[in-house]
Amino acid sequence: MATTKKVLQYKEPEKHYDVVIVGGGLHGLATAYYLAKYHGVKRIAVLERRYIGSGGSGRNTEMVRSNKRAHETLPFYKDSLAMWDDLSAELDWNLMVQKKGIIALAHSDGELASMRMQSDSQRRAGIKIDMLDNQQIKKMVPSLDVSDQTALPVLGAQFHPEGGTVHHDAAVWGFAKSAARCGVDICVGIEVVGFNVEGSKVTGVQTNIGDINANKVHVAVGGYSSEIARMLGVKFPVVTMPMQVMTTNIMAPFLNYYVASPRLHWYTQQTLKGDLILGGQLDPFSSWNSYTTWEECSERVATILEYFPDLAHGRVVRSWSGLCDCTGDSAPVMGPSGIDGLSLDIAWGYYGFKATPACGKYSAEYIATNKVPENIKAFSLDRFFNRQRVREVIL
Amino acid sequence: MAFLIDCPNCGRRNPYEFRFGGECKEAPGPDADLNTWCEYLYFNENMSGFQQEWWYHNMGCGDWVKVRRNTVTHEITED
Amino acid sequence: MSGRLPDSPTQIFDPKKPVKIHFRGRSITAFEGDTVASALLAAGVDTFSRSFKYHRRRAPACLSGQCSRCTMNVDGRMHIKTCQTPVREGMVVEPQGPIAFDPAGAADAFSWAMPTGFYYKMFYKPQWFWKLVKEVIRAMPGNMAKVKALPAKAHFDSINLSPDLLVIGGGLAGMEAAITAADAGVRVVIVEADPQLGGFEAFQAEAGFRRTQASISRLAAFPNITLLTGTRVTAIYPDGLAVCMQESPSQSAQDCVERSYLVRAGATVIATGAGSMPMVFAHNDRPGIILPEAAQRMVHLWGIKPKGRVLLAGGDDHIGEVALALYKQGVDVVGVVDFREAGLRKDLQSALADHGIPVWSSYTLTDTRGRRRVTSATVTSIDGLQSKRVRCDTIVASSGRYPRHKLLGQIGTRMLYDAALNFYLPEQLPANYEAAGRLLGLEDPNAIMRQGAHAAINALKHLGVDTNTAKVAAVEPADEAPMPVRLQPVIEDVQLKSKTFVCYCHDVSAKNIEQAIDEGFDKIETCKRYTTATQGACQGGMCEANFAHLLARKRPALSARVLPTTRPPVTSMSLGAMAVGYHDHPQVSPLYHTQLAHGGNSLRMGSWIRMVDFGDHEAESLAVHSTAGICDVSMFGKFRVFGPDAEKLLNRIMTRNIEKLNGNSTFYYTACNEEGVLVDDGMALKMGEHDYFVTTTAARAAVTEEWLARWCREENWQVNVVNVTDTKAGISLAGPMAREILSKLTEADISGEALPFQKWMHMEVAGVKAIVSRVGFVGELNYELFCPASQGPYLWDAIMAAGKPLGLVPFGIECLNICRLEKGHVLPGIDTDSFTNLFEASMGWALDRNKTETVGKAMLDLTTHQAIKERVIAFSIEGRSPVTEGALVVDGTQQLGRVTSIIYSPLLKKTIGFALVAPHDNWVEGGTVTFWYDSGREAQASFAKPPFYDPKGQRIRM
Ligand SMILES: Cc1cc2nc3c(=O)[nH]c(=O)nc-3n(C[C@H](O)[C@H](O)[C@H](O)COP(=O)(O)OP(=O)(O)OC[C@H]3O[C@@H](n4cnc5c(N)ncnc54)[C@H](O)[C@@H]3O)c2cc1C
Ligand code: FES
Ligand SMILES: [Zn+2]
Repeated sequence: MATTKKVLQYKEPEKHYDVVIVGGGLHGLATAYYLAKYHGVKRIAVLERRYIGSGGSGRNTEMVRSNKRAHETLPFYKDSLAMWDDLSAELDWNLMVQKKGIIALAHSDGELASMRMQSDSQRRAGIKIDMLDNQQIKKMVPSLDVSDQTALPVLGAQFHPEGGTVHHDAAVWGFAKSAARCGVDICVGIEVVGFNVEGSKVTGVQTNIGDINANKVHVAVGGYSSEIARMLGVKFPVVTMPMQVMTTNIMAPFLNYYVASPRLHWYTQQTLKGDLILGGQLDPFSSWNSYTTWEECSERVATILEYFPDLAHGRVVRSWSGLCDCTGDSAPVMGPSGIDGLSLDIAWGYYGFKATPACGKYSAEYIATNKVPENIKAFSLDRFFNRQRVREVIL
Repeated sequence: MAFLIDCPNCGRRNPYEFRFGGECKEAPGPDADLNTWCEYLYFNENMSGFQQEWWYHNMGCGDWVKVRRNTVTHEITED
Repeated sequence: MSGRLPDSPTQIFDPKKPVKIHFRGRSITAFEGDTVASALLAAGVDTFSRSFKYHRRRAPACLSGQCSRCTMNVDGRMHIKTCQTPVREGMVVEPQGPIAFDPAGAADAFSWAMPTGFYYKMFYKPQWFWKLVKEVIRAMPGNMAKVKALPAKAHFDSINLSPDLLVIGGGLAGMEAAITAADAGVRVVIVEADPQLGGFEAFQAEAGFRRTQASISRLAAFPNITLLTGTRVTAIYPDGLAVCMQESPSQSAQDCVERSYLVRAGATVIATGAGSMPMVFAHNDRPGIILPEAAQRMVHLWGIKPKGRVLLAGGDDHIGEVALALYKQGVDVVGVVDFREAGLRKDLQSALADHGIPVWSSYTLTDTRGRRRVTSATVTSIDGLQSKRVRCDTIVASSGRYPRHKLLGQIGTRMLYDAALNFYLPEQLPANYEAAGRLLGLEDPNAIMRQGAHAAINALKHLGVDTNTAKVAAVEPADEAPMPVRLQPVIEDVQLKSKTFVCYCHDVSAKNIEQAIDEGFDKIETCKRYTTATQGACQGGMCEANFAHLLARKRPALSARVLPTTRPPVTSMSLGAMAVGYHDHPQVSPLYHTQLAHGGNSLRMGSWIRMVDFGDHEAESLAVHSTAGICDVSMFGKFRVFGPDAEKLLNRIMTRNIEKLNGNSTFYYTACNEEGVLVDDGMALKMGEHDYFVTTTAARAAVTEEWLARWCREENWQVNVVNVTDTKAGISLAGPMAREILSKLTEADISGEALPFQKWMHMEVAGVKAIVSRVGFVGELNYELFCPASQGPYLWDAIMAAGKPLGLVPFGIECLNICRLEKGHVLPGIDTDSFTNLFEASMGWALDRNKTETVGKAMLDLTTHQAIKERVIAFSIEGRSPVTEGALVVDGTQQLGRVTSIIYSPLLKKTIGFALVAPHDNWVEGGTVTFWYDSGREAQASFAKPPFYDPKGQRIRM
C-alpha cells in the first residue's frame, strides 16, 4: 500500500551523533523532539533496547496532573500540564487529552489539612484547585459511597479540574512520529551496555552492536536507571519497585472523573472505551520483575469496592505492572550527572508520565545550552548532598 | 522461580508477610564526613540481580533475616 | 421435550427436570444441566450481544468459556459468560444493550471511515471539537454493562486449599495425573472448568464419552482427591498461588455468586488442553458461525441440533470427524471444506462420500452472507480462481488447534513456535510444574493418559514421594508416542477482505492489522496496542494465534510468531470475588466500649478508633485544669525491654541517656532515624536492673518493634523485647484533683514526696495491679496508669465513680490536643514531617551530646553548625481564629511553611499552635506570622515562646 504514510520509522544507528539519548520511552522521545525542533540539533539518536514505549511509558495509568506540594516544583508541573493541551495540534496526532478533573478523597482531618495546604500552595502558583464537601462529591460521582458506613469514611476531597488523562500510547507514537520527521534517528533493539568516558567527559556509548560516539549523552531509561549507574560506577538515590494496575470489562459511562484515595492508595478512572483502570500502589519491596500479585490486586480491589460497592460484579480482565525508580523525596533527578556531557532525566517513579512535555522541553534546553533551566533546579542530583531534598511529604 | 522469602524460623513464605528492610549496607565509620553519610542514607546499589537484603517477618516469627535474592528472578540462594 | 435430540449417554442435562429462566421478558424452559447459553440456543435465540466497535450481531462461538460473545447480564451481574453459567429457576438474563435493533449498528456501514488508529489522526483540531467527540466515543461501544448494585443478598466467598498436587484440567491427561498421584498417597486437588470431567473427550460422541467414564470412576474411588468442577484457574501468581474461580458454587447457597479457591500446592500439573482457532474470512463473525467444540457440545452435551444446513471448514482431519458425528445425529451437513491439498484422511473421505456429503479440498471460506445469522458462504479455491456460494444456516469452521497455554505464561514459561510441528510448545517449565496432554499437541488418547501419569510421577519426585512402587512405575513415559502435526491457521490472500475479523472482542480486521504493519507498527507489542487486537475481554484467547500469524506473514523476520505477553487473569474475575479475602480491622482500645457508654464520640484515626471528645472538648479542657479529667491512652506502643544489653539497645534508639535513669524514675525521650529526623517520642520507666518499660506514639508502635528487633539482630545483643501494647490498658488521670481521686482507690502512699513528678510505682488501684507514673503531658498533676487490658474497663469505671463527685470528666483527643499545645509539646509526625531533624523540631535539648552510637547522632553532629532548613515555631492569636491546620505561612510572595497544629484554648482565650517554617527574621518574640489560607484569606499571629501555660512547670510537679 503505497498510500499508507508511515507513522513509526526506525533507523539503524550511525557511528557518531551530536546527542545520543538512552531510552526510547516518552521522556527520551520528547527530549529528542524538542532538541531537534527547537534547538536545531541535527544528529540525534534515541537508542531503545526493546520497543518504544516498552517501559513505564506504555504501562502507566495515564493520569496527568499538577498535584505536587513543594512550591519550588510547582511551576514545572504547571507548565507540563498546560503543554499537553496544545500537543495534539503540534504533533499532528490526537493524544486524546481529557482534562476530566481529578478528585482526591480525604479520610481524616489530617488529610484534609494536608490537602488544604497543598491546594493553597497550588493556587499561589496559579493552579486551579477546589475543595469539595461530601455533597458536592456525591453529585459529581453518584456511585461513590460518601456515607459514614465505609471503613474510612470520606470527609471531603480536593478537586483538580485541569487534571485528567492523556492516552499514553498515543503520546509515545506522536512524539516518535514527530521526532523522526524532524530527523531524529529512532533505533530499536539497541541496548546501551556501557559508556565511554575520557577524563571527566563522556565521549559515547557502548552498545550491543558496538560503540557509538556522541558529544552528549542523555539518560532517560525510566525504572532501569540503576543499571546505568552501575555502568558508570556510581549509585543513584533510587529503589526500583513495581507498580501494579488492572483493567476491567467495558461498562456504560458512569464515572466522569479520575477518583483517587491517596490514603488508601487507590485510584480509578473510566477510559473512553468504557473499561475501568484500577490502581495502584508500589509493591513494598524492591523488584525488577513486572509481575502482578494476588495480594496487591485483591487489596486494591477491596479498598476500591469499599467506596464503589456497585462494582462488585465488575470484572477484571487484565493486570500488569511496570518498574518505578523511586527517590525518598518523591521528586525526580534531572540535569547534570557529575560527568561532563552526560545528563540525567531519571527517578520519575510512578509520576513521570504527566511530566513528559516539560521533561522533554527542559532536558532539551539543558542539553543544548549547558545551563540548568530554573524550573528543574530543584531536581538536581546534588540536592541529596546539600540537604536540599524536595520537601514533598505526603501526610 | 517462586517469589518466596526463606525464613530460618518459618520456612519459605510469601513476601507480603515481611517488611522489606532494604539492601544491606555498611554504616559509615565514626569519622565519616557528611558526604559519606548522605551517600549511605540516600543512594542505593538497587541491584537488578542478586543482592543481600533485610526482611523482617512481621506476620510470622518477628525476626529479621538476611536474604540473598535475585531481584529479577526472585531466586534465593545461600551466599 | 422441546426440540432436543433423543436421550444419549453423553448428555449432561436432565430432560425430566425443567427449569424456567427469563430472557428479555420472556420465559424460557430449560433443563437442569443446561447452561444459560445452551438454553437460549435451544430456544432459538440467534443474537446474544452486539460487537464493540461496529455493533455487529454476535452469538457464542466456542461454548467453552473462551470467546466473550455470549456475555450477558445474569441476575444483575454484568459480563457473565452465559455458556459457563448453569441455569437456575427464576434466573433473569438480559443482553447488555439493544440486540434486536441497535441504532449504533450504523457504525458497521461506516467502517471504511474507521481505519486503524483513525482516532489518533482525527478530531483534535480545534480543541473544543475533541471535547464533543470524546463524549460521542464514550457512548458508542457495544455490549456495555450498566453499573448497578447487586441484589443485597448476593455475596462472594473464598476458601484456602493446600494440597500436595494441584492438577489443572480434568481431561484424560489431568485425570490420569490425579489418579497416579492419589494412588501414591498424596493429597490432590483437580480443577476443571466444565461442569463435567472429561475435557475434550466428554463431547466426542459415545466413543470419547466411554473413554472418560473409566477414568472418572477410577478417580471417584480416591478420598484424597478433591474435585472442583465448574471452576477456572484464572491465575498463578509469582509465589505459586493458584487462584481458582467458581461461578455459582452451589445450588443450595444461591446467594453466593462466585467463590475463589486459593490453592497453594507443592507441585502442579497443567493439562489445560487445546482449543480451536477461528478461521479467518470475510464476515466470519456472524451468528451461526461456530467452532467445532461448540457444535459438538451442543449435540453431545445438550442434545441441540445446530440450526439448519451445516457447512464445515478447516484444515485437519478433526473437522471431517466432526462432520460425520454431526451427520450421525441427524444434522443436515451440506459439505466439508478443507484447505489442505491432500484433503481429509481417506477413510473420512469415503465415509462422507457414502453419505453424499461433498468435500472440497484445496478450498477455503472467503465470505458469508446473512442478516440475523449466516445464510450462505462463499467457498473459494486456494488459488482464488474457483468460487461458489453454498447456502447454509450454520458454519462450523476452525483453522486448527491451539494450546491453552496462558497459565504457562504466568509461571514464566514462554511458548515457542515450532515450525516443523506448526504448533506452539512450552520452553522448560519451572521445577515444580509439569505440563501434559493436548496442551502439548498430543492427540492419541492412550498417549495422553500415559503422559498424564508421567507428569504426575515427575511431580511426585519433586514432592519427595517414593515413585518406585510397582503400580506407579508400571506406567510408561509417553515420549515414544508420536507427536502429530497440529495445523496452525493458514491464511490465504483470498481471505483477506474488509470485515475479515481477527480480533472479535475489538472488531479488528485483517485489513486493520495489515495497515498497522504498513504504518510501521510491525512489532507484536506495538501492533497489538495500535490495532487493539488481543486486548479485549478474552485477552487474545480467540485471536492471538491468527494475529501472530498475520504479523509473521507480512514480516518474515518475525516468523518466530512471538505471542503477546500473558498476564493474569486468564479469564475475567469479578471484583467482588477478588476482594473477599481482604479485611480491614481497625484497632480498638480495651476501653472502647466503656468510653462509648460514657458518651464518647469515636473516630477512626489511622489504624485506631479513638474518642474525639465526650461532647465538648473545650469544657473538658477547662475541667482538666480546674478539677480532673480521665483519658484513654491504651493506644500508646508499650514495650518491656529487659536483659543484660537492655541499656545498649535503648541507648541506640533514644537520644537521651538511659543510664541516667535511676530506680523508680521515668523520663521523656525522643528517637530519631539515621538522618537525625525526629520520628518518635515516649516515656521510659526503669523497672529494675536492666529492665525497662517503654512507651511510644500510637502510630509508631509497629515500627518500633521491628526497629528494636533489627538492632538486636545486627549486634547480637542479649535483650528481650516484649510488645505489651495490646495486653495493657492505659489511663491518664490529670488535674488538680487527681491525687485526691486516686487516693480514694489505693492504700499506697501517693503523696508528692512518695510519688513525685517523673517517678513511678507499682500499686493496687481499686484492687487492680497497675504501673502508675507521674507525667507532664497535659500540664497538670498527671498520673498514667497501665494495667492488664482485661481489667482496664473495671479500673476506668472505678476511677470515674470515685472522681465524679469531685468533678472528674472523661476527655478525648481534642482536649488532649488543647492541653498539650498549651504546654507547648511538639508531636512528632504531626508538627514535624519526614525531613525535620531534632534541632529543627526545636528539641535539641533532648539530645545527650556525649552519647555515641545513637541512631541519628552522627548526622545531627555533622549538621549542628549548618543552617537549619525549617523549624517548629509556636504562635498565638487573640480570641478565636478561623485559620486551620494546613494554612500556609507566607511573607509576601514567599512561602515559608505551614500550620501544623492550631486550636482555641478556652483557658487562655487565645488560639495557639505550631507551624513548621523556613528560617525568617520574624521568628523573634513579638514577631508577626502571616497565614494564607482558604484560597487567599490572610490572618496574622504573633510568634510565641512556649509553653503558654504554667511556664515554670509548677502544676505538673504538684
Ligand atoms: C503502572 C504504572 C502506572 C503509572 N501511572 C502514572 C500516571 O498515572 N501518571 C504519571 O504521571 N506517571 C505514571 N507512571 C510513571 C510513568 O509511567 C513513568 O514515570 C514514565 O513513563 C517514565 O518515562 P520514561 O520515558 O522516563 O521511561 P520509560 O517509559 O520507562 O522508558 C525507558 C526506556 O528505556 C529503555 N532502556 C532501559 N535501559 C536501556 C538501555 N540500557 N539501553 C537502551 N534502552 C534502555 C527501556 O526499554 C524503556 O523503553 C506510572 C508507572 C507505572 C509503572
Ligand atoms: S478476540 Fe478477544 S481479544 Fe481479540
Ligand atoms: Zn519467620
